[in-house]
Amino acid sequence: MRFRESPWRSLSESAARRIQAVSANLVARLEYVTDWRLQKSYYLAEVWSIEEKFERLSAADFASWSHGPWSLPVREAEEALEVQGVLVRTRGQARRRPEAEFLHIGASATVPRIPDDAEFLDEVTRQIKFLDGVTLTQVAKATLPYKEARPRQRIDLDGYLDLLRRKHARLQASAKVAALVEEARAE
Amino acid sequence: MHVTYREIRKGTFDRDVRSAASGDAIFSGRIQRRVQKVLENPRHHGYHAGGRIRCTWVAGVGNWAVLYDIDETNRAVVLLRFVSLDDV
Repeated sequence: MRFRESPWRSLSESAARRIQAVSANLVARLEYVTDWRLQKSYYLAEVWSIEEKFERLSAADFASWSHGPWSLPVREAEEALEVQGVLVRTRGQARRRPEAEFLHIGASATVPRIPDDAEFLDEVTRQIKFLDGVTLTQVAKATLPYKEARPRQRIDLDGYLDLLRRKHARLQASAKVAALVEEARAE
Repeated sequence: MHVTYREIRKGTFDRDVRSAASGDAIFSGRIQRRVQKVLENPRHHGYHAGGRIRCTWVAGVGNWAVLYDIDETNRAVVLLRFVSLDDV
């Protein structure tokens, strides 16, 4: 019998705290969210951070489940935040089911500050807040790292970051792109 | 949204975007959001390219890049091209 490698790597305490801070900030911006919606939103924030800022938002690993990207570290962050009283889980009416569990920020809770990424998370959540669940999953599944991951294995976000850095280096060295730029300037 | 630079769009940029994002509302929205951020603070939201396209500024959007110039005299961002990173 052949055992598959676990998608989850161990995390330092500071890395786990960072994932908690990002999770809390996403919930604060998305307001009432299910675990499922938080997972997809967090994943897209990670991918867009790589694509726009050339850096990981956090060290959270994601696995490529058939229903989309999912992260055990994010789930553990939710649970830690619930214990701390930052997140509260309540049952409520859902759009596609009679009931679902929703996460929201506790009435007297303080959301951990992440000043360097506050503006970035504002922009990400503005883009995805009103997407329906099916579309949100489609957008997450359409990302290159998800498409390239083997089923139920870790999505290689660190590798994606390296790949994009190499592509941008190639862009700057490209004679074709230089010609395109000159064509635009001459217009 | 606080826009601090005027936007000048070259026809080449609009044609590139139309061809890249035609029919994809989410990607179009992402491009527009990225352009807005560049207009707010073009030096912060992109990087100054070296190599063959030196003096041009670059902002990544997915597997694509917005190429632009900053015209400080007129406090404007000139949007030049929108190129695929796989087609360089």
